[in-house]
Amino acid sequence: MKFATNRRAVIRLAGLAVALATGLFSATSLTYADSVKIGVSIPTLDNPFWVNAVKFAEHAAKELGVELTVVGADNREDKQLADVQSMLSAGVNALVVTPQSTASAPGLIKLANRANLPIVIVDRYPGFDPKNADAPYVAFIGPNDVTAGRDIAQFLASQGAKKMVGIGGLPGSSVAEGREKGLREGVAASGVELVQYVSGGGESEDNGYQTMQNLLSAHPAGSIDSVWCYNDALCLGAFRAIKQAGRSDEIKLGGMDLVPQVLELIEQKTNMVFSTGGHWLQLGFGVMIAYDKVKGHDPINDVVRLDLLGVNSANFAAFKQQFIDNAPPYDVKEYTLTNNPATKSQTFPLATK
Amino acid sequence: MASFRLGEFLSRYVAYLALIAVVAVFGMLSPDRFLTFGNLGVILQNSAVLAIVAIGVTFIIIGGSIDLSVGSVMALAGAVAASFAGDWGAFAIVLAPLVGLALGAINGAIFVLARIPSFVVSLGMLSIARGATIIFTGGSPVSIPLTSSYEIFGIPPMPFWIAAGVAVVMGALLAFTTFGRYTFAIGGDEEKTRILGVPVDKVKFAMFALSGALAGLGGGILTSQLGSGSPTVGTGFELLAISAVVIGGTPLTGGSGSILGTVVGSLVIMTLANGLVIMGVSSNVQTVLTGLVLIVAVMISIRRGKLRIIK
Repeated sequence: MKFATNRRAVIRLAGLAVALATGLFSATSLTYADSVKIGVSIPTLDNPFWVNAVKFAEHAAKELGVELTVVGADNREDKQLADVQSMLSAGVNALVVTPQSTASAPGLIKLANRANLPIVIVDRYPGFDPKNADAPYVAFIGPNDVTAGRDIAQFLASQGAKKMVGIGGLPGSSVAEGREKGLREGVAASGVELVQYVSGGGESEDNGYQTMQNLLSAHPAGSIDSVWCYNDALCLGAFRAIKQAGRSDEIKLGGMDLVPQVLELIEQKTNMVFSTGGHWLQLGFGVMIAYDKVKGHDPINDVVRLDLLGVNSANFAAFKQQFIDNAPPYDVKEYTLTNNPATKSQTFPLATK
Repeated sequence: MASFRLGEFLSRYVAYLALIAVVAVFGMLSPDRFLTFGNLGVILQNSAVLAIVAIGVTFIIIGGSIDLSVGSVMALAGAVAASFAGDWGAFAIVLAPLVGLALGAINGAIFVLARIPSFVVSLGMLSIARGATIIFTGGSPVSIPLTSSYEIFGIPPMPFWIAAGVAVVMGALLAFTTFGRYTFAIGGDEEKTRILGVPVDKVKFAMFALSGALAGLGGGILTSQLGSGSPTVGTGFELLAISAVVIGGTPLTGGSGSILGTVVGSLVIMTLANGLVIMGVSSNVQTVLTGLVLIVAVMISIRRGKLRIIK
C-alpha cells in the first residue's frame, strides 16, 4: 500500500487533530461521590438576570452539598428538550427547569415523569396545577408578576407620572401577561393614563430601543412622561432611545429584573428611576425545594409566588450591600426541611434588612 | 495494487470519522455516564427530528440549491397539527407533512416559475411562514390536551423509528430512482442536464415540495415532544439542518452527497450536545464547538481540485 501524502491529506489530518484537540480541551467536570445531583435547565445564559440566577443557585447548591449541572437552551425549545434528556441520562436525581415557553412545559414535565424523577418549574408557569393527574410536578416558583407590574406602575405614578406608555414582553408568555395585568391595575388605581401599550417584539435591549424609537415618533414631546418596561433589558434600550432623542428630562423609566446596568443608572439618579426584582433568587429556591424533595420532603407550598423587592435611589445602597456585593444575608440550610424541619418557608423574604 | 490515498479516504468518510472521534473523546472522558446504552439511546432520540429535517434539506443541497425556510415551516406545520390534536388525536400528525408540502411547493413554484434564486425565495418564506404561524396561533402556544393520543409521536422510541423509516425510504429514493439521479445531475451541471432533456423544472419543484413535507413532519414530531404548537419553535433550526448536511459530507455546491452522511452529521451534532451536557460544560462552549466541528468537517472533506474558486 502506498500512502500518497500530499498537501490535501496534510490539511485533512490537521483538521482531524484539531477536532480531537477541541474535544479533549472541553473537559471540565467535578464530581462529588454520592452527593445529590440536580440538573438545571434555563432558557439562556446570555442574560444578566440568568447569570445572577445561576450564581445564587450555585451558592445554594454549595451550601447544601449538592452537585449542580446548569445548561442554557439558547432560547430554543428543541435544544431544551435535548438538554433535559441528556441530563436525565447523565444521572441527575432531580430537575429544576425554566421552560423556554409555556408551550414546552408539558413536554419537559412528561420527560421527568417518564424517568420517575422530581421536577420543579421556575419562573414560567406551565398553565396547570402541580398536582394534576397527567403531568404532575413538584412545585412552581416564580415572581408574582401581577404585583411586580403594579409596583412599577405605581412607583412611576408616585414620581408624578401622568401619561404612560408600556413596552411589554412576548405575547403568549404567562409572565408578560401577568405583568401587563399588574400594569393596568396599577394605572387604574393611580389615575394615570396609559397612552399606549405595545409588545417589545422580543425581550432584549435592541427590541426596547427600536420599540421606543417608534413610540417617541408616535408621541411627540409633551405627550408622554413615563415608560413602563416588561424588563430591564427593554428599559435599557428605551433609555438609550430617549437619550438620543434628547427627551431624558421629560420621561422616566421603570423596569424589572434589577440588572447591573440599570442599578448603576438608578444609583446615578438618572431618569431610570425604578426596578423591581430579586427573583433571580428563585432558581436557587427551586434547587432548595428539589433538594428537599429528593431527601423525601414534600414542599410546604407547591405554588410559590414571590413578592419582589423594589429598588429606587433611596434604598439602593442597602440593597447593593445585602444582595449584590455579598450573598444574601440568610442561611440557606435554615430554609430547607431537610436541615431544619421547623422551617415555615423554603424561600427567604426578599427585603433589605 | 490500488494506492491508498489518505486524502481521498478522509474526504469521503469525514462524517463517520467525526462521529467516531466525538464518541471516543466523550467515552474516554466520562465512560460510566456517556457510554451507556441508555445514553446512546437518548442521543438517537434527540437526533430524530434534526435528521428528518436535514434529510429533506439534503435533496435540495445535492440539487445545487438551498432552503432556509425549514425552521419556520416546522413551526407552522406543528402549530396546525397541534390545533387539531385535541379533536383528531394521533391522526392530526397527517396534517404536519401536508402543511409542509404545501409550503415547500410554494417555494418550488416561485423558484422555478419566477426564476428567483432559492436563497432569496426560502429566505422570504422563512419570514412569511414565521409570521403566518404567529398570526395562526394568535401569538400564544396552541396547547395539546394532556390526554390526547397525539403524544405518542413524542415518546421514545417513536421519533427514532420514524426517523429511521424516513432515512431508509429517502435513501432509496435518492440512490435508486430516476428522480434521485436527476437530482445529482442537476446539482452537478444544470446546463448540460437541461440540454439532455431532463425535466429540470419539475425535479426542482419536487425537491422543494419534498423538503417542505419532511420539515413539516419534523415539526409535527417536535410539537408532540413539546406538548404544544409553539410560534417560536424552530427558530434558527435551518442552520443546524444545513450544518448536519455539510458535516455529513454533502458539499454546498451540490452534485454529490448521501442520506446516510446527513444522518451521521445529525448524530455528530447531537452527540456533541449530549456529551457536553454530561460533562457539565457551559452551553456557550457547545455553540462554539458546533461551529468549529462544522468548519473542520468541511476543511477535511472539501474537494479542492474540483472547486477552483472558493466563494
